Amino acid sequence: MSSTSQELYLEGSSHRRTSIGDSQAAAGLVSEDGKGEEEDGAAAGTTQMEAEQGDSATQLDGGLWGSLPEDLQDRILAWLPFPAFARACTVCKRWNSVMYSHSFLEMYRRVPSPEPCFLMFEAKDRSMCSVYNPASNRWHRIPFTFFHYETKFPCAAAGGLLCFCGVSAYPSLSVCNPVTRRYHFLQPCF
Amino acid sequence: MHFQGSPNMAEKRVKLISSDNDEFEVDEAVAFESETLRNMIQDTGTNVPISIPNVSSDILAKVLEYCSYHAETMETHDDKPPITDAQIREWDADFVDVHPATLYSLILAANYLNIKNLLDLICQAVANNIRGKTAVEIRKILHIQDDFTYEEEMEIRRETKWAFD
Repeated sequence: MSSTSQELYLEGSSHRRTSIGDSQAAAGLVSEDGKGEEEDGAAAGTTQMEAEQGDSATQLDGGLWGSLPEDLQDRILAWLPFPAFARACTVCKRWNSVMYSHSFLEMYRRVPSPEPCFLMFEAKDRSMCSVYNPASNRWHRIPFTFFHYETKFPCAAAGGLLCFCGVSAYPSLSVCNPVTRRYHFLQPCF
Repeated sequence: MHFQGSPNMAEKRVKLISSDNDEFEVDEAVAFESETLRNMIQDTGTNVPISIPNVSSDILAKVLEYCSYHAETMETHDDKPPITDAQIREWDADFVDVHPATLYSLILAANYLNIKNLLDLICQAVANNIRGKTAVEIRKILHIQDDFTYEEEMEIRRETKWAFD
């Protein structure tokens, strides 16, 4: 481990049920047996996947699928692996906000827990963190500008959430979700 | 059409009628894979045929094929080795390897009949299909309107840029 970096795992399994409310997709939406393997980029991925997967060989068309009810669209979204889910958020406003909806999170609970991602923070550039997704064997650089942690260090991770500990004279804890870009400062209990 | 969920003749049989008036007879255990049918049977018993007005016979046959296979995987036989998870996954993968129009009818039927595992299976298959597609392609398939303003679109592109690298 480099002395200039801090590394930790985003554990996606045991704490998932309790912390799911804010932890959507941070640790990925990857299914078991490698089906969630991510493809290279959006455009190149289509043909590659058609070749690999029998059920994708036939193309969905807008004729029938255009009338798919919204709750079924959401169910499908819940099965998208982690980077594909983030890309799907750019489809429309409703999809962009779906990860905050309780009904969606209920569906997401049914999806098998993905392998945990590996996070790395650099001491030099604090506006970014690097995320390794073992399901796709790829690194992603996620912007980390929403939460200033100059005086804090990451101390724990569970269910897609990160916990930061303050380094000032008074200990302080904060919890954030790198994907939803939400954070909370925890009140001291003394 | 008969689906043999188990050779146990003592088991109750359930009659189902598709939207095009075809009659299907299945073991109660097979019908119980569907929450909707389970509730109906618990209300009305197995003597009255159950009408399923929004599922056609070809789709109902497929759905019952799924239900009878999965009811069978729950059973234990002394003379046969149990069906492994790998075998079930392979069977499931073959089951959803169908024309998109059939898959569409199946997702609606699984939703109406409330067969959670089948619904998950189909949703996963569709997610595998669309995960490599661009936002423009997905909008076209699902007839979704791009309702972002230019500024919103620029912002969300900036926020999710990492997912496109």
